Amino acid sequence: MNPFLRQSLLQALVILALATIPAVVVVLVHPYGPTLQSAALEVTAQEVRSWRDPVLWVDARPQADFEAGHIEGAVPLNERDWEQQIDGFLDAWYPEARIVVYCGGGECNASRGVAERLAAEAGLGHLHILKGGYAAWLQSE
Amino acid sequence: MAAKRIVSWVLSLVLGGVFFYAGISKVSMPPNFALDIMNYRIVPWPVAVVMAVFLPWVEIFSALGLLLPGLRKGALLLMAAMLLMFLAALASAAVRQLDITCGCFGDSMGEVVPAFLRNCVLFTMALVLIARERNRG
Repeated sequence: MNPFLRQSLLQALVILALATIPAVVVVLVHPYGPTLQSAALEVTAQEVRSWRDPVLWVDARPQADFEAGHIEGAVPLNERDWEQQIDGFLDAWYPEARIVVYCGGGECNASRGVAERLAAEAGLGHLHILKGGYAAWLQSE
Repeated sequence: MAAKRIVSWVLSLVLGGVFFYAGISKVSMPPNFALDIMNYRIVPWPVAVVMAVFLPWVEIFSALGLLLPGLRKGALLLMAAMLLMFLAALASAAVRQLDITCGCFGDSMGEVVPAFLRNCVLFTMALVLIARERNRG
C-alpha cells in the first residue's frame, strides 16, 4: 500500500478510536440516552403547544377511544388496525409536519410502538411521543 | 513557498473551524440529529442513532487532529470522506425533491442546495490540503 495512504488510514483510525470514547459516554450518561434506543423523542404537551412547526397528531388508541374524543386534527393509527388505518395516515402526512403520537396516558406503550413502526416501516423522521398521552393534553388545556 | 504555506494555513483554519462548529452544534442533542438524519430516508433508525452519536465527535476530533502534525493526514482523510458522504446524501435529497433541512449545524435551518454547494467548496479545500500533505511527504 502507498505509504502516504497507509499513514493517513492509521491516523484516521486513531481519530475514530478517540471519538468513540466520548460517544460511548454520551449514550451512557445523556438524559436522552434511553430515547436513543427507541424511534422517537418524548415531548410534553407544553412543548408541543410552543412549536411553530405544523404538527400531525397520530392517535394510537383503539378506534372506539378515538371516536369518543381525540386531539383536533388527529388521525387514528394503532397497531391492531394498522393495515386499515395506514392509508389514512399517509394521506394526512406531509413532509413539513412533526408527527406526535399519543396514547391514553400514564404508562401506555401504544404510542411508542406506533412511532417505532412508522420509523422502521415508513422511514419517517420528526417523530415524537406525547408524554402522558391524551390525558396530559386535556390537562394542559 | 510562503504564499503556499499561508494558503494552506487559511484553508486548514476554515476547514477545521467549520468541522469543529458543526460537531459542537450537534453533540449535545443526538436525538435531534438522529431525526435530521432520518429525514433523508436513507438509513434505518438504529443506523441514524449510531451516526448521530458518533459523527459529531468524529467532526470535533478531526478538526483538532488538523492542528497536530501526527494526525493531520488522518484528519484530512476523514474530513474528505465525511464531506463525500454528506454530498451524496444532499444530492440524493435534492434529486428526490425532499423538502428537508440539511441538519448540518444542529439547528432546524439550512437548505439542501446551499449546503450542497458549501460542501463542494469544503471538499475541494480538503483535496487541496491532502495534495499538499502528499507533496510534502
